[in-house]
Parts: sequence; structure tokens; C-alpha cells
Amino acid sequence: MRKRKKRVLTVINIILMIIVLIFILYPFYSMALSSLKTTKELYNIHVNPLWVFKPTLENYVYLFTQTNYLRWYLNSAIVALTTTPISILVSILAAYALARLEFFGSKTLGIGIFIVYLIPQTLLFIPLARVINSMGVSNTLWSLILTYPTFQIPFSTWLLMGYFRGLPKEIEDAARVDGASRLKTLWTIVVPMSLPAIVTVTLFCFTLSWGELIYALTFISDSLKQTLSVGTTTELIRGDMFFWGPLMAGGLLAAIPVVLAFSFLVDYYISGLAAGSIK
Amino acid sequence: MRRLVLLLTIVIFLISSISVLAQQSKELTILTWAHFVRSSDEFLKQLAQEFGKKYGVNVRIDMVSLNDMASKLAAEMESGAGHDIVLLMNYSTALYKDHLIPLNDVIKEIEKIYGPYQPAAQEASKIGENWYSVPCYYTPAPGVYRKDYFKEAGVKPPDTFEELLEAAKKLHETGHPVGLPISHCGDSNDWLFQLLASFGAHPVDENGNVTIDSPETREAIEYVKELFKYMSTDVLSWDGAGNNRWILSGVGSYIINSLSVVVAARNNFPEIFENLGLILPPAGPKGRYSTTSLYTYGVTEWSKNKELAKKFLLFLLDKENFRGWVEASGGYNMPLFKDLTIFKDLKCWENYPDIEAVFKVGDYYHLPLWPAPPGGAAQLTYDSYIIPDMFAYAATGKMTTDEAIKWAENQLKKIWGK
Amino acid sequence: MRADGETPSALLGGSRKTMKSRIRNNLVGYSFLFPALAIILGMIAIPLVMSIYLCFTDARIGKPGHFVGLENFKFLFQNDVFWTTLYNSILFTVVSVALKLVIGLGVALLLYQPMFSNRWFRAIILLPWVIPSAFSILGWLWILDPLYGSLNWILTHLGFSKVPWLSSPFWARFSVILVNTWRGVPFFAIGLLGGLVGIPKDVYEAAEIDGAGAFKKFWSITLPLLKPPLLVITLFSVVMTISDFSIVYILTRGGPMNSTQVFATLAYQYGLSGGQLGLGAAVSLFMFPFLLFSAIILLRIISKEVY
Repeated sequence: MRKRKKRVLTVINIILMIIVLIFILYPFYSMALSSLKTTKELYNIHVNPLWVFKPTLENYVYLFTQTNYLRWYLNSAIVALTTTPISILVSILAAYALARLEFFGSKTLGIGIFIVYLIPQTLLFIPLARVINSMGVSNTLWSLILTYPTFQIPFSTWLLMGYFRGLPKEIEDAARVDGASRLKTLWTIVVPMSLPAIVTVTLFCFTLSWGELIYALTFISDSLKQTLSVGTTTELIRGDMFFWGPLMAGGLLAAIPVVLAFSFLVDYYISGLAAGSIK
Repeated sequence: MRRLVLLLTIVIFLISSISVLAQQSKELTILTWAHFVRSSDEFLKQLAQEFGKKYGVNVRIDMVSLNDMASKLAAEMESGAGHDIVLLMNYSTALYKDHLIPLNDVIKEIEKIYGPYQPAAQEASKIGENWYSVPCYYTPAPGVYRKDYFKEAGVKPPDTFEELLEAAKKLHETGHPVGLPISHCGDSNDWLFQLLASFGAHPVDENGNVTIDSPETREAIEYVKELFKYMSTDVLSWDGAGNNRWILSGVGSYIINSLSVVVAARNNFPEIFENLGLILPPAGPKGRYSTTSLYTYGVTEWSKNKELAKKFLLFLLDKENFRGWVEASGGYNMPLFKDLTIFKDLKCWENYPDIEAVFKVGDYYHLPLWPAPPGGAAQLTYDSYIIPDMFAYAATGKMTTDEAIKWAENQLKKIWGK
Repeated sequence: MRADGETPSALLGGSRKTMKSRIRNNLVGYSFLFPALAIILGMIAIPLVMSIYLCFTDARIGKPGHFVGLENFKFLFQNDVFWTTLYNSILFTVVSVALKLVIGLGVALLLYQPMFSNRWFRAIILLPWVIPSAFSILGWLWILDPLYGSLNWILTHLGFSKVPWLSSPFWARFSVILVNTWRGVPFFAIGLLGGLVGIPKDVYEAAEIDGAGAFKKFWSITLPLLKPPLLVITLFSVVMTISDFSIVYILTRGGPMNSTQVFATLAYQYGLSGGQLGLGAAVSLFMFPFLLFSAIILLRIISKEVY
């Protein structure tokens, strides 16, 4: 009886997962096809759009040889890989302080950090442009490295704060009784216990940086220094002409390697958690 | 040891400040759009290099997507720092005039070579007594039509809006409707403003008074309501490329658009290109008008190389260079002088049918909100899509004609204050 | 289990804090908090104050304005476009976030199952979130295109009529919510998966021994323990959704007839295109009370539930 119930459950799970996968992947399927189609086939309304009949790699070739795509990829990677660790580190410290250390004004500051996040980028970017200019980092990647943490940190701090609060206090206290400083407790005990949350915020910080558009557009003018989204849309959307093929190719390449890299990373973390779990 | 460190610090400081200063004075930066025709940009970059060599300066051209131009410009104008020369389209010159330097001397030189500009040039670039930007080119939007579909339907290409309506009815029957957008996009604004003008309706008059409530406006709205019956409802969602796709898919028979669609057809869809014809935009009871984008360049007040920037503009509009630029753009960059004879022998025109019609568009060209005074209010009116929305509400029946006019009047009064 | 007086906290001196240790605690707290504060305050404080000030001026781009009090807000309140915008923003946020939460939770539960617990499934689910919006929304634009869109092609080949995905107010709103949900589900899914993974298995085992079925386990164990990450993720999703710009800007530009206009796009229209910075700032800042309100509610629930 139980076996049948299990089998039914399994079938339901599989059906659900198929539905989810179709929902998630359909646009990517469409983008992949578009990236392999010639302009003629793309604009042919009589042909079945769900398949490509004369596949071509010319869009990818165009992307790599006629645009600065690789350069933009590199720029985005540099910014994301620099700001993410910084924001994570800063957030871990801040979250721990707000979660565990009761000190004067901690509650207000905690809420303050969150409130800053509520301010939309579309409101901030013009005054921020002025600040960036006066700091002399306009038109450099530094302008992004300095500003991206402002939206990465609030969320990361809050998520980690919630997570830290939920951890059993006894283990940390035991370490402190043994003479460990707050810092040491944080790094040797709390952080390993919080890997799922840390993985989540790492992903969040990285993807926010990876896909950010407004600041990148505003602060950087030089094509060679632009990030992925700005450079590609500038180059491939000209007036009322969309270069769909290379655009879609660019989009796919912006997503797939990152996702693969990240999923391997997640694997590493999660297996580490299962193996060396203190709980 | 300490002295050595001090010496080193001073040396490093001197070197870096010299290099920074050197960089500052030796670079001329230009902000422009990523041109639809790539070779136009290539040519521009070439010119920049030539100029740079001649004057011993590094000329850097930065390109932005047309959609992003507003943000980029706004951020620069607000921070008071950025490029030496910036692209200013339509109302931007009036909007940012306080951050631009007068260019009367440059204009004088240019008009010596080519003769006077069309009046529309002044609408955009001359504020009061001074010119604050140099008009370079505009993108004429003729009627673009399928000769074969019109033949099939037994109608001639429309010279007036009345003829357009008649043609639309027949073409709708043959399954190849006309396509004119009534949506949140520039193309909608452009053709609807010119429609209003050609019916004698002006949303705002030359003193900034809101004058949209008039029998002429009513007439124009009734016209569009009728026309809408013979168009696809898709037109309510079109972006700037919507009408291009209408023609390039082979479905559509008539649009009013810049030459981009012709270029795209020639490059990718020869069967369509063979059948394309160009005609002047339709005339209404009170005249013929055309409104599209005008591309001008201005020099910013914070530029450290104002004289050099002016020289660059003169260099750009030097006869051989400017002709080369127009040629490189495949004829897409249409100069806005009254007399275009200097350009008529260029090879690029061979790529278009009926190019004479396109040359004449300049005679009818005005900024969209003409005769309203240019500036922030005009730009906001344009960018809020008030006119397309008014027509959309009426055409879809969401509001009666009178309600739609009242709604638009309300919106306009808020912006223009009168 | 130790007796109360011998827990580590008690051994550390319990609640009796000397002056010295309190100062020390403050110092440690602030030093931990310092980097975050420095970055945020350093970069944001001035622009933030400037932005808030702008709302009450008639500043134009490049022209400092005069203080005009509540003029900008008056302009907005008397404008029906603004009320439509308000309605749209709330509609999109409430519906999208609700959908993202439910679907995201479901996906998280699926991913938690052993048969789907591998990197490939997680990678695929992540895709809509990782791809920069600039690309994915364009991808959707093509799918929803009236002439070329594949969705309409499928519908017409199945015998249905074409759907005006972007040209009717109802469907345009539907499309915006659809794309928003599609993009945000991974955020919920992976975030909640992290929460699920963090729940120790012995809690479930104990419940099973007591005879609890799958549903009871979910309701009494999983959900309550998921509440903290769930609430934080929901809160941030609300913030991100209500201030979203790209989806409307790329798909509809606020049309047809302002049926998809949202705060961010309206602010852009007024502030950047029209050059009326003060007005644009007023629109942007209008989101703020909403966010604050939702934040307070959600935060209250967090603190009550867990701590």
C-alpha cells in the first residue's frame, strides 16, 4: 500500500517538475532558436517558429567578431566578482552584529540599513552621478564597484541576520566560554553553520551585479569599459532595428556559463554541509 | 629615508597631475547614438581620427543606444560633467540650453557653404537670438508602401489622408492592411502630431496655450476612429520597430517610417524591396506636415576644449566630410538644408526608389509639437504619449471623442499650466 | 540537559553586564557594523538626501529649483495617470509576489526531493534569475510579438484565436505579471530551498515517529521553520517588484493607454525625458511609504513569530 502511494507521489512529482521545466525553459528555448536563425528565417511569419530549419552560427560569430562582447563580459565579471565577496564579508559582519550583539542603536541602524534599500535606483542614480563624478571615478569600473554594494548589502545583511538569529545560541556560547573572541566564533562556528544562507546571498549579490543596468549606463561611457547589458543593447539595438540573432545569442551566453558555475559551487557547499554538519 | 619618501611622493604627485592635466586638455569627447547604419559610425570615427591627428588631440566617440540617450544626457547635465560635444535631438537643445554654449559663428560658416537651413532647424536649435546646437541631419519619414498590394487592391498610393482612408478600406479587404501605430512609441507621436497639424489642429499654440479643444481636433479624431476599423489592433502595442515588422513580414501595405525599413528590406528581403515605393506623407485639409527626429550636436559649457569642439563641428560639416558622412550612412542621414543640390549626386540614393519624394520631405518638416515653444513642456508632452493615448481612447471606444479631447486637454493643461 | 544556571550564557555572566563589558560590546558591535555603514552612508546618504529634497522643488535637470512644498504631489494626485500608475503598481506587486511565493515554494519542495536534488535541476531553475533582464525581457518581447510571437502561433495552430498579449490593457497587464513571475520564481525557489536544507532531518523523523503524515509535517514543521527566510525573501521581492522598471519599459512603455504604467516608468518619463527632476523624484519617492508599510507589517510578523 505504501509503495503504491510512493509511486503515485513520484509520478506527480515528475509531472509537476516537467511543467515547471517547460515554464522556466520556454523562453530560453525560444532565445536559443532565435540565436541560430538567419534574419530571413526569423522574420518569416509562415514558418514554424518552434524549430530552426536553416541553423547558422553567424549570429554568434557576429557577436564575437563585430562587437566588444567578450570585453563587456569580462567587465561584468570583474565587477560582479569584486563586489560580491566584499558585500558578503561586510554583510556577515553586520548581520552578526545586529543579530547577536546588543549594542546601543543596533535596532535603529538595522532598520536604517533596510530603509536605504527601499530607495529605488531610478531615484538615486542622478544625484549619485554627481557623487561619482566628484570622486573622479566616472567612466571607470570603480564607479560600479563602489556603488553596487549599496544594494547588495542591505538584503544580504537582513537575510543573514534572520538566519543567525535562528541558530542555537548554545554552541556559540560554548565557544566563547572556551575563550574564543566574537570574531573567531563568527568565522569558525557561525559561518559554517549558515552555509545555505550564505550561498543564497552570494547568488543574490552576484546576479544583482551581473544584470544591473542603470548605474552601468549612467556612469560609464566608453564602449570598452561597458558592462554586458549596456554594451550589448547599445550595440545591437540601433534606432528601430533590433539585431535579434546576436542579441539572443548574447543573452544565452550571459546566462548559461554563470548558472553552470554557480550550480557546481552550490553542490560543493551543500555536500560540505551534509558531510561536516555540526548539527 | 624620510626625505626619499617625501621626494618620491612629490615626484609621483607631479607625474600623475601632469598626466591627468595632459589627459584633460588633450582629449575631445563626443556623445552620440549608436547609428542604425554601422558604416555611418565607422565614418564618424574615421573623421575623428583625422581631426585628432590634425590638431594633436585624442578624439573619443562614445555611443549610446537611442533609448538610453535621455538618461545619459540627463545624468551629465545634472552633474555638470561629461562629454564636450553631445547629441541633442528635437527638444533637448531647448531643454538644456543653459548648459550649452552659443554656436552662432559655427552656424554662420555652415550656412555660407550650404545655404540656409530649413525653418525646422531653427525650431530646434535657435533659442531666442542664439543657436545652441548645430543641426546635422534628420530622418525623413515618407510613406513606405507595397506597390504590388496597392495594385492588387486597385488603389493608388495616397497623397492625402482621405486617399489613405479609401486605400485602407480596400487593402483591408485584400488582407494587407495599412499600419499606423497608436501606442506608446515615438512613431505614434510623430504621425499623429503631423495628422493633427494637417487638419489644422494644434494641441498647443505658439504662446504655450492649450488649444486642443477645437473642431479640427474632433475631425482628426473621427478620422483615426474610422481608419482604425481597417487596421489590426496590433497597432495599439507597437514599439518603434512595430511598423517596420509590419512591412518586413510581408503582411503590411503602408506605413509612415524612416528609411530604416527600406534599408532592412534591401539587405534581407529582396522580394519585398523590389516592391517598395516611397511617397510624401499624406496631406490633410489644412496642409502637409512631417515630423520626425532631428539630430543636432551642441557643445557643453563644462567642456575644457570649447574652441576645439567648435572646430570639430565645422570639420564635420565641411563639404567633403559631410557628403562622405551622408554617403556612409547610406542616405539615412538626410541634411536639413533648403537646397539639397550639393548632395544629390551621391551614390547612396541609388539604393532607394522614389528618392525625389524623400528629398522634398524637408519642405514640410517641423518639430512634432510645432508651433508650441520648444522646451521641457514640449518634451514632456511628447514623452507622456498624451496624443497617442487620446487617439487610442477614442479609437477603441474607451472614451467618446469629446471625453478623449477633454482628457488630453486636462493632461496638457497640467504640463503647460495654461 | 544542563540545569539552567550552568548554561554557557550563565557561565558568561548572564545578564549582569559591567560598564566595561557594555562599552566593549558596543565597540565590537560598531566595528562589525562599520564597513556596511561606511559603504552605504558614504555612497547613498548624500544622493538620498538630495533625492528627497528634490521632491519638494521644481528642479529641472541642470537647473536647481525653488522650494515648492507639496506642489509636485498636488500635480500627481490630481492626475488620473498617477492613480492608474498606483493601481498598476499595487496590482502587479501583489499578484506577482503571491504567484512567485506559491510557485517558488512548490519548486523548492520539488528540488528538495532526492530525485531532483542535483546540480542540473538547480542550474535550470536558476536560469531566469541569472540572465540579465535586458536580455530575457527582449526574449519575452519576441515571444509575445503580435506578428512573430510563438505563443500566438501555438494558439492559432491549436484552434484558438490570437491573444493581444501587449495590445489590450488586460492582456498587457497579464504579460507584465507573467514575465515578472517567471523572472522571480528562482529567487524564491533557491532561497526557500536554502531554508529547507537548513531544517535538520531529525525534526521530521521525530514527527514521523509520532505518526505525522506528509501534509502535517509540511504544515506544522516546514512552514513555521521557513517563516524567517520566507518573510525576508517576500519583503525584498515586494521591494524589487514595485520598483521594477525594465519589464514595463521594454515590453509596453507603459501602454496601451497607461494600463501598465508603473512608478518607475512614470518617474523616468517625468524626470528624465521631461527633465522635471522634482516631479520624477516625487513619483519615485511615492513608492517609499508603500514599501515602508509592507516592511513594517512583514517585520512585525518576523519578530513575533520567531524571536
